[in-house]
Amino acid sequence: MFKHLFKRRRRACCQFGRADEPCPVAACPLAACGNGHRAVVVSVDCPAAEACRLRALGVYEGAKVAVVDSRNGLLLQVRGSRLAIGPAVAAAITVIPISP
Amino acid sequence: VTVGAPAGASAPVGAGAPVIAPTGAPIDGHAAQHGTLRVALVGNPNTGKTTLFNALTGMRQRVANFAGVTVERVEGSYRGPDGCRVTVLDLPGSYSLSPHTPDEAIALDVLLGRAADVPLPEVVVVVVDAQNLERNLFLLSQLLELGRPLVVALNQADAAEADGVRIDVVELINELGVTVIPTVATKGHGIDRLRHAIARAQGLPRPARRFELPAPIATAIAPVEDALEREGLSRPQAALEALMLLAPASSEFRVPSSKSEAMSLATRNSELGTLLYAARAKLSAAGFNPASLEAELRYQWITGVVDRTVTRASRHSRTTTDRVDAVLLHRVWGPLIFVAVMALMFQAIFSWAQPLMEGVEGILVGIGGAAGALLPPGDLRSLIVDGVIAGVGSVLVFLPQIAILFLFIGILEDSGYMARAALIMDRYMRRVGLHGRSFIPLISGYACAVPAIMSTRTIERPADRLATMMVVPLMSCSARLPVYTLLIGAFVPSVAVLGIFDLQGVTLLAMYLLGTITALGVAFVFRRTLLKGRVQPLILELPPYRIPSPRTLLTTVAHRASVFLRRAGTIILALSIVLWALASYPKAGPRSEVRGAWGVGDWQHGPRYSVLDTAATQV
Repeated sequence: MFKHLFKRRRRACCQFGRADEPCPVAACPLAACGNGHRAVVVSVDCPAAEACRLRALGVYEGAKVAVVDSRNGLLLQVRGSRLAIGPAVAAAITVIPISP
Repeated sequence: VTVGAPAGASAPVGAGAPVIAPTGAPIDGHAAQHGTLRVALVGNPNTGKTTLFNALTGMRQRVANFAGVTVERVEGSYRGPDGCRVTVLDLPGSYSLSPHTPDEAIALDVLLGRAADVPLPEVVVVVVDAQNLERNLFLLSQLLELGRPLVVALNQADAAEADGVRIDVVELINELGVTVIPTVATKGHGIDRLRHAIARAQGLPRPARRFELPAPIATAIAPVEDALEREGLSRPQAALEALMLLAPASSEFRVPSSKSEAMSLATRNSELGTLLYAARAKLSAAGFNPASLEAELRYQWITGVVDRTVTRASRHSRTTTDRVDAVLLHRVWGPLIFVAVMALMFQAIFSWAQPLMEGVEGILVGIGGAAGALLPPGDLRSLIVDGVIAGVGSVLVFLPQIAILFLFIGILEDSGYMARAALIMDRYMRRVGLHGRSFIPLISGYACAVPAIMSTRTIERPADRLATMMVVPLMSCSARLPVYTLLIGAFVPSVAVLGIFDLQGVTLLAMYLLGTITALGVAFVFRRTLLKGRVQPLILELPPYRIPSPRTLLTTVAHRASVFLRRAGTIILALSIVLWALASYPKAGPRSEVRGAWGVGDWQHGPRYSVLDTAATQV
């Protein structure tokens, strides 16, 4: 029972393909990435203050991030630290998904 | 050597003043002569900075506010190994030197010797979390460029080892060019070595930028650096400032609450602005993104440093934190556990504090009785017993509740659960225009509004914080409970509702619900009228789970309780005496008996609560 409850749901990357396949889409909002996906940040289009905070925390153009959990907002693994970002922020970050 | 502009001087608004102002305070060896060494402790949030501060300074600490802002200023001191007195200032946690919160702006001001009534620290101690080295090195790389004597405390070294992360300290010293001392602040390991390193730091070569700018970038920003240098900055500080200024500044969220903020806003209209614009255009043409350039360069350097200094046993192993998060952030268990934690906190505040509160009350009744017996009847006795002792009592009686509340908040913060709670509640709070972090203050409002308002300090944006503070007093605090019980007992009949509930109980629940709904409704209205603007989007670091150190918890609770006693206590005492005077004068014969039963004079009943509530809304 517990195994079932804690099993991570793997969502399709950018709603295409499977997590273990190379993604056919070039770029998409970070919000569209599912659990367990890794992606490279292409642009951070938040207001300057938040963009600056995100960059200091390691979410900058060219950085690799991993999506740990995508249920409410996004839970990211960035450079060894765990970061929670709201849906509005996740929608403003554009990424290119990479195969895990 | 001349000292930079006095901290209190007004900012040259519109003069194109840089964020980093010249600092020319005397440096080498002067501290030993004067017998004190000023040390500033700086680091990312959740690095165990406060625990390290406690380990360094012990209980000899002083809590105050930085001049003009509501940022807490904690200072402590110890006797250094060479016998000179070392004062340590615990700066608020910051992620970078570009200030985005009042806390970060203060940290920057202090590090540059620009904060009002805080002298420039002679040594900077940077607390770096060994479990989270990469992210922590970002702030460190900026601090190195300030060129101040600097010591790195590599904290949580044991937890990193437990996670299978090994850090080569000798290699790290090589890479950073400053002293690195591994510490375990919770156990007091490495503290003595850190003290020795602090004493020696001023005699070592100054740290500097550890990476070279690629040629096209260097040429593009050289005019900006030159302009900043003409403003009076040292060469390395101008280089740091130029790099930070490349990201476009926004005024949207900045409150010019501090000098560096006001100064950075001023830069936008100046000659410097033109130079910056040109530099950004040049960089874009060369294929760089000026906004992210600083982060890219620093993280590129950091990646190299981490590659050379850190070895991981297994790169993708699930840590304890991952496993705990799988449960605590689970979509079903997460909210349930959160509700359970809140219920436990409530239970503790109301039931566990009860015997303590009765004890305090008993002692005060005893003192009141003794004073009443000693003093002759008359105005003086009335003032002492009904005014002063009753006033002090009305504050002291809440101390157990407040201490328990702060103990819980401390455990939640230090264990790392507070960030998760904010994450879980953020969705719901956002609907009424509050931040996820507003939830704990609101819940604390059920106990007492004063500590609840004090606990809003974790909310970053002033508008979000103010909205929370404004609605907290609407939550029914525990002091209103006796009033509710009295009125319900008098006016609501005890009849069964739906067979099992008592109408009186249902009414009490309704009173609490009414307060809560009003608070949320008022927050909603405030966010659409007086405090317009969107709620700060959620960007939250989830720190690794840790066992809180009892020593740190006790120190924190003691600090908060003493702040409560001083701030709220004095106001409440003054108000009690004023109310006593209003109730006692002018003397009107028979009415005074009525006062005896109902007025402020009788401090064991109702009215003292209204005094506390009045004070709570004003503190």
